[in-house]
Amino acid sequence: MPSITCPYCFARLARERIGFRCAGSPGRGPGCAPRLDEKLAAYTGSAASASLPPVFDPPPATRRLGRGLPRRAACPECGQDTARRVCPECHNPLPGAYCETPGKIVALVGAKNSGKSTYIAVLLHELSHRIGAELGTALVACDDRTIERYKRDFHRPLFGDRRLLPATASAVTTPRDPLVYLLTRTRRRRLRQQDMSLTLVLFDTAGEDLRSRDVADLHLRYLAAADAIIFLVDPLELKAGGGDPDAEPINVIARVTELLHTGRDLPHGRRLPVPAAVALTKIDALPLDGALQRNRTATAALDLNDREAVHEQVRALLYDWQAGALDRYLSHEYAEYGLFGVSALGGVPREGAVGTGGIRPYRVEDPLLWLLHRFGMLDGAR
Amino acid sequence: MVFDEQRYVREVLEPARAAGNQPPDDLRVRYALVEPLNCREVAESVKRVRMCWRKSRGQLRFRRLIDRLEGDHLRLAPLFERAALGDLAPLRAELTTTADRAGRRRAELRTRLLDAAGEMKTLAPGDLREIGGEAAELAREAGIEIREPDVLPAAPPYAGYPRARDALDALGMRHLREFVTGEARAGRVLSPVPDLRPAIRRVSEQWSRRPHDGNRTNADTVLVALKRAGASEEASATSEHAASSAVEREASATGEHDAVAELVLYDVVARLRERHQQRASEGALLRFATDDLGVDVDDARRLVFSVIREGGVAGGLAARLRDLIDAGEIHAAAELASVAGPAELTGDAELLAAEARRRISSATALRQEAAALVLTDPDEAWLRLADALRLVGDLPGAADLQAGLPPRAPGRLEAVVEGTEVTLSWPPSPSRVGEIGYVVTRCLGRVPRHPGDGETLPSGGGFARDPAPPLNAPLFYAVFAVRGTAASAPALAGPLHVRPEPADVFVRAADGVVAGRFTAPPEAVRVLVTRDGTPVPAERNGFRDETVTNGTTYHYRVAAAYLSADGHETITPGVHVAATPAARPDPVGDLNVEQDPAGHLVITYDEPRHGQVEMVAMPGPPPWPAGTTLAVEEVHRAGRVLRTAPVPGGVALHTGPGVLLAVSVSGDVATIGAHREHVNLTPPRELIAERRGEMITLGFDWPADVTEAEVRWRCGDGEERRLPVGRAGYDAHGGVRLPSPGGEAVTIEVAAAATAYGRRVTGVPVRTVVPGRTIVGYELRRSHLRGPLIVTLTAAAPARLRRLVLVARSGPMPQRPADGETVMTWDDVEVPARLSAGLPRLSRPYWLRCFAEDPAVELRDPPVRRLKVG
Repeated sequence: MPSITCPYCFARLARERIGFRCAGSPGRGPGCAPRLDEKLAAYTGSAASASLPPVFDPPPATRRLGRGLPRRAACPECGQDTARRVCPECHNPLPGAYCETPGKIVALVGAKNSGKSTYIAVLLHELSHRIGAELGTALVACDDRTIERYKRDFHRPLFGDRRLLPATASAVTTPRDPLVYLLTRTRRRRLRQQDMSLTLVLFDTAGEDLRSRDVADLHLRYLAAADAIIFLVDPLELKAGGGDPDAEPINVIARVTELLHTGRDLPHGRRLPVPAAVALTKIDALPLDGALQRNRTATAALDLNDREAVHEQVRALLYDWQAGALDRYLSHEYAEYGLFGVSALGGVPREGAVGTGGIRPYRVEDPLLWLLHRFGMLDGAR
Repeated sequence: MVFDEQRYVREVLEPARAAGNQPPDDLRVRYALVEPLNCREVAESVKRVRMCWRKSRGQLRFRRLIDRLEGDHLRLAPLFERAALGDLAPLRAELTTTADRAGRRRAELRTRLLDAAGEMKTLAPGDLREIGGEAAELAREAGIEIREPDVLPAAPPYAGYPRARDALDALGMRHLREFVTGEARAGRVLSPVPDLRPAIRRVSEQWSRRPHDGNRTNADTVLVALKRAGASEEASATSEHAASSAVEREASATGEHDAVAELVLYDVVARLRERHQQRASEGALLRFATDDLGVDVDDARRLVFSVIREGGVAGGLAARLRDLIDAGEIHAAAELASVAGPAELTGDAELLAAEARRRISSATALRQEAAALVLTDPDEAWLRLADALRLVGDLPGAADLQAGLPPRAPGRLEAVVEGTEVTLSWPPSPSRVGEIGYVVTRCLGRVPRHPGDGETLPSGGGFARDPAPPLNAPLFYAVFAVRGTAASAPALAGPLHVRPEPADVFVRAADGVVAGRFTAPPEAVRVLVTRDGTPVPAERNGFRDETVTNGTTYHYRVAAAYLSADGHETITPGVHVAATPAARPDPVGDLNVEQDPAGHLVITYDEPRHGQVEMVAMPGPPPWPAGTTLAVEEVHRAGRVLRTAPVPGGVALHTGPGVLLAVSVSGDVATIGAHREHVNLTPPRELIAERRGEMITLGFDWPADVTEAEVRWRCGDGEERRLPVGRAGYDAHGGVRLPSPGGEAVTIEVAAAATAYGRRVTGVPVRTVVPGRTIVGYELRRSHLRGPLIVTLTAAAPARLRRLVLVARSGPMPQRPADGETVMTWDDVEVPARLSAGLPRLSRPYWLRCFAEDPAVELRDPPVRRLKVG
């Protein structure tokens, strides 16, 4: 039976090991009383929301018989049937769809001030609305913490109050959960349809976290488990240069690449098999022409001509800005990489608030579409 | 059986009299009948008993009882007559009935007694006497205690008790006894109470050890009260008995004890009296005494019973005299005193009688002085009588004499005709004493003679109004000052004639004509209209003057003519109106409405040749077609004239959503002009339109109060298209995307939208134009392996390209002509075109890319893989 990766602790799990959490006593019915889940409390760093019914291992009979993945199990304590599956390592909930069709984990990394938080907020919003409708995808949050955090930290300030998101604090001082979403798409091919899913694990990782020994372990596991990676690069940082060397895009990417090598135990000199999408953010501030200036055609397929044109245009821009080393580094280290240009806000902000015309995202979905295409979830067209 | 009269009197009549002259209910007792009844014996016994009654009636004490017995006997006589004739059945039946009746009566009496005794089940002997009957016997049977109320101390035995009481309250003590003994219960307060002096000494010592603070001060105040009460008793005892023998010291100690006990009692009684004054019920008082104060139950009943009965009217001549004097009936008091015997006129009664007599004497003198002044100075006489009545309220004849003193007449009466009304005013009467009122009357053709003569009009404060006087008739008005039953001489006005002017006079000036309308009073014989002194032909309801010149103001007088009693016409002063005929105003042809950033509407129009333009706000389209000329009032009734500020070419104004109507006004007429529907929707701001390939992305800032917008766009000269956009949809889709294939210029308008008047309306739009670009595509091919490079240019329509540059570059794809080596340039290329060029000698791979150096042309690359060579 294939294994899956927990999108929270990134532990590699045999699927028959996936645990269950007792349904408890909904209403006044019988069932186990809530108790402190120490593993979950250790993961979240707080016992506040870790008082839950107990977790138990899947029934051994199922494992012995080698049947398919059990969807339900009876709690050994109270006998109640439950379908709530959890990671046996960290006790975080695992969505049923993720357990049955394990998706790909996409990691998002960016240097400080590269616009990661804004990009995450807008990308999720677009996937829930315009892009979701165009592609026929469904995006669901995998847990309540994700729903609450997205609403509180991303959606409400940016879309509700029209305020720019503040710079992300270091995870060393402010522990954070990842935002875990399941993006599912039904693909129809030759009279049959196939459900495919992609797990978006979005750590709003501050650039400096990647050089902190304290949090490197979690990020190491995060990156080691990633099936694809999106790098966000601030073009103004590339053009200007000369700033904090730690924040220079190539150094951030190099550090992450090093972690990827380490996590995958891959010898140097061999290219990483992980698709890497390097996106220049805030391209609305650049004078645009060519492919980047044109909107993507709204179809449920990846326009390969457009993809190639954008890639070459961004590559040329990198060389223009004397950042060709980045392109060369990527080509040496990654078996596949794509260059992109995105604008989350679509315009220049003003005094800490969203600029004229509100939030008008531009090409934010391009990296994800490319990855979906790489994973076989989206057709390509010329 | 022999009738024993003395025994009858002793055993029947005496008890019946004692029971309130209540005849015995049992007829056997009343008539001394003996069972078994015998016809003859019954007749004999009745005869004897009645003889006894007659004899006893001679005694005054039995008179009332015997009268009652005789009265009742009239009802019973037929029964005894039947019994004498041998029919005892009716008598037996009556005997049974009377027994029942007696039972009911006793039950009712018992109920009355219990009601009167209340929760304390106690009655005073006086109460029993009032109730009468066998009340005493029944009260005893009912467990009601009969006792006189205890005489409770009316004043505190120590003058400083109120301060002590405040101190007790501050200390949180429920009563004085609690302070002394520390016990919450007051216990017995009426019966001999235990000696509290040791307790007072003990508590005094306790408090003396406490630090000086507010509580100590309060405790000292209470202790001083206790000691002073005892001391005062002791002092008085000492002064009265100078000798200090042992017996006397003992008596002094006893007096001190009694004084403390009385103070304790007074403290409890004072608290009960307070509750009683606060309308507490008997039950509440009893509960307060027993539960709150902890008074012994028996003492509590006695205290409450006594407190409730306090304050009753004491009997006696003195009390009666005091009551009469307090009620102002001094004369009656003097009369009462005069008929009282000298034995009764003692003490207070004597003093009161003397006071009554003194007052009567003074009042009589005042009355005599008043009588002398009646004719010369009635006001002074009135004052003397008022003084006399103040002394003796029931002084015979004084009140009537005072009521008949008329005040002085009011000043000159002024009557003014105002339209169809008459207003009257007068200075008040010089008389300033007594309550003076005014009566206003109106008579037709003669002077009113007295306050009741003619029509009485409502008046007040020296002013009256006659709302509907008879028209064209001689009217006389009179106002009388009235005091008591007397009226002064009248102040008069008249004769007056009320002759109203023509009403509702309305003159309208139009182009070369002035027309007037009015309502003639019914009593008027005709209406006269003059223009600047010249008569104008007029009907009874209006006139029309066509002999006028536009631009000139004419003054008209519209007057009514009345026929007087002597047959002559009387012309009223008339109503004056002015009118200026003017040429018909021209309508406003077209309106252009724009909204400035401040939210003002800027209305521009061509100024009409005649008339001033007014902007009228209306709730809907005007009911008149443009060009209609009508009275300006009619327009003003239908809409609201807006305040405007002049701007070049028109006016600026501020108004809410609705219809704006331009009206040209000249004189009294207006001509309806163009109108525009206006919705007060703030236009979107900061329109941003960017061409993104085959799409135009549109963004704008939403005004705070707008949730819908309408986007209208037109490509080149094509058809205009519309797209409704909601704010939520705008946010969800990240702006608006408009399809724009072909690169044509696109005119975009965005207007705030809303639903009003039951349909969709839009505000003033904001416009932007996205300039068009000619899109030229190209392909790079080689016809064969070593052949030249063929550049094929295509476009949707023939176009001209000023300059085309073919560039080659190794490394990244060139982004501008300067990025690489120029392979070939072509000038003034007519598209479509097929051009050829030689391949550059560069190491492969390398890029080839064309650039158009023409701002009006957008050159579209082929797929980039075709631009890469090698």
